[in-house]
Amino acid sequence: MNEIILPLFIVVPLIAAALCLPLNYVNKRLPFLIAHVVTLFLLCISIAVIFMKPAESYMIYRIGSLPAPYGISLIFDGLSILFITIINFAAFMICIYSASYMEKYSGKEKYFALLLLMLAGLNGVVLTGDLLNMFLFIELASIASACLVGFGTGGEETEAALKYFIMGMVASMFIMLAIVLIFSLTGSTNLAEISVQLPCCNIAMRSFVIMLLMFGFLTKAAAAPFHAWLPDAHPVAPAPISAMLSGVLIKVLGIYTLIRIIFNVVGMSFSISHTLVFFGGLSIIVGSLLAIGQIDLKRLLACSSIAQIGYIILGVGLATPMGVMGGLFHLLNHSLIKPLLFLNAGSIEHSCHTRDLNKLGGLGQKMPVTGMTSMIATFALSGIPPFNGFWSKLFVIIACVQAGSIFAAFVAVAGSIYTLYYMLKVQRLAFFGDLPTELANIKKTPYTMGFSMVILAVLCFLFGVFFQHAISLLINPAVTAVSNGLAYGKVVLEVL
Amino acid sequence: VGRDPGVARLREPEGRIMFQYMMCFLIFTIGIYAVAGKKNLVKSIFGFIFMEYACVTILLLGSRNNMQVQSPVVFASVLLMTGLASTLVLCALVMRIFERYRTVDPNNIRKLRG
Repeated sequence: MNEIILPLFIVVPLIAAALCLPLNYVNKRLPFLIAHVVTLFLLCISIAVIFMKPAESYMIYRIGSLPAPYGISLIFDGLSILFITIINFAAFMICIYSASYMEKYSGKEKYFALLLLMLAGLNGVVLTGDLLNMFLFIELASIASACLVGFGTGGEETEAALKYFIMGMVASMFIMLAIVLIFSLTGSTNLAEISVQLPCCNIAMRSFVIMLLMFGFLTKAAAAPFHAWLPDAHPVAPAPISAMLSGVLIKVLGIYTLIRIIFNVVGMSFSISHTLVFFGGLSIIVGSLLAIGQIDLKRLLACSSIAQIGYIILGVGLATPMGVMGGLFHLLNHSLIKPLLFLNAGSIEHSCHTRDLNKLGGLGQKMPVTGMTSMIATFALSGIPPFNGFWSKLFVIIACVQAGSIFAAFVAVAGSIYTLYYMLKVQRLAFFGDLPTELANIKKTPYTMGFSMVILAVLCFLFGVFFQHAISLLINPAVTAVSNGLAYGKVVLEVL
Repeated sequence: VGRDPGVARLREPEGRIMFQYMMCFLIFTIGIYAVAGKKNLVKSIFGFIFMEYACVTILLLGSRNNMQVQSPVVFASVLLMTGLASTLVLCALVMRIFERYRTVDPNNIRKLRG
């Protein structure tokens, strides 16, 4: 009976999003209240569902109780645990942060409605067991996030939203073509059914479909040759939304879907592994080189996201248990560190009204909470022990060496050094040095903003010190689910 | 639901089926060209509509052999609906761009770079 909880992840935010707009006419505070209650509720049930799920098996909810190929089912396994926790935790933190940050914007009810819609889309992508549904939820999340990127409605915002949406839609079209071809080949859109049927199909057709899917998902994940939209779209969004986009959205729409399709549905192969390692390494190099030259704080962080996504793709692409574990652990760590850094940037922007690093300086005394948490995030992101980023980068590098790709290991180490360089540049220019005279009497950071940043920073530290517990609770089930490979289809079809 | 073994399968020569697929892929490529190569955002929107309809036509072409367990017509209508939603958002964004810059040429609105 536990599986009755699964549809709540999608239905509750959808209903709440629909309620936000009419209830705004009753009381201006209601949309805000609804968003907080809903995200807290989702965080609670996502923690509860970790302990409800029986180990080594799947939780399956059939919508309308229809049998396997006809009905739609929600499937919850180890990989979903990791992503559900990340999504709902980040959403809750961002909701708390938004309370003070969004004061300067009008139309807050639309903001919270779009945020909840995006949350429903992200939860749906992670839970669904059907390719067509996955596409629908990807579109839902993309549309909501494009509207949120353009939320400021200025010229720059609209332009970035347009660029983001066009790139996202081209990727969606390729995914749509791939889904249509898969449907023609196998006669089904159920992931389990496809994974059983697809190996019997024409090899040329199969490779073509895999190529289309990889193009689509790597574009959604902003891996290196397809990254052009990310440095524009993420900085102009409001800071909490940048945190959500960089921390969660690119991982769910790009990495989760890629892992699910490549490992569990079409099956990992030698050539796919090499392609992913190539794109991962390229992303590390391109992202690091782009980030070094930036003077806009949020743009620098967005470029750094490309490099960190490269580590994840590199680790997962090696397809060894160590590599997958390193990649997924880095994904978990990055979803804590990058929101923290973007929230810091938002706090600086809130107080100083600029993101230009050359106009900042000496903020360490004026904003102690932001300074400390930013320092922790810098150490964590560049892989300094005992923070969490160190362990995940170490695992990825060890996995590279074990798999025999010394060049990839070299790229990963070099990327880490570059990360330290550009993050220390941010620290020096923003938090150390002399305080410019125009910043002498800046506002203090509001408490709600400080609260989210402190919680995230504490988690960065705890996940570094007690990394075995984090791995055994969240990462190992995910690695088991990934390394089950094509057995996923057979097991799920038996249960259905 | 969609499986109907009673309907006699339409026998068509292989060449014609291949030709129809090729035409669909041609429409898809025209769509990509319109999105990537045209200096007019309205033409880009048409490009997306081309790509979407090419996908739907490939879906209906590919599901003529009655082996599908799910109904292709429902599938096609769902794809059209999502396409409609995305196209409307895109139209809204292009209208905003036009109101602000009085142009739909993406080369003239380069405030952001790369």
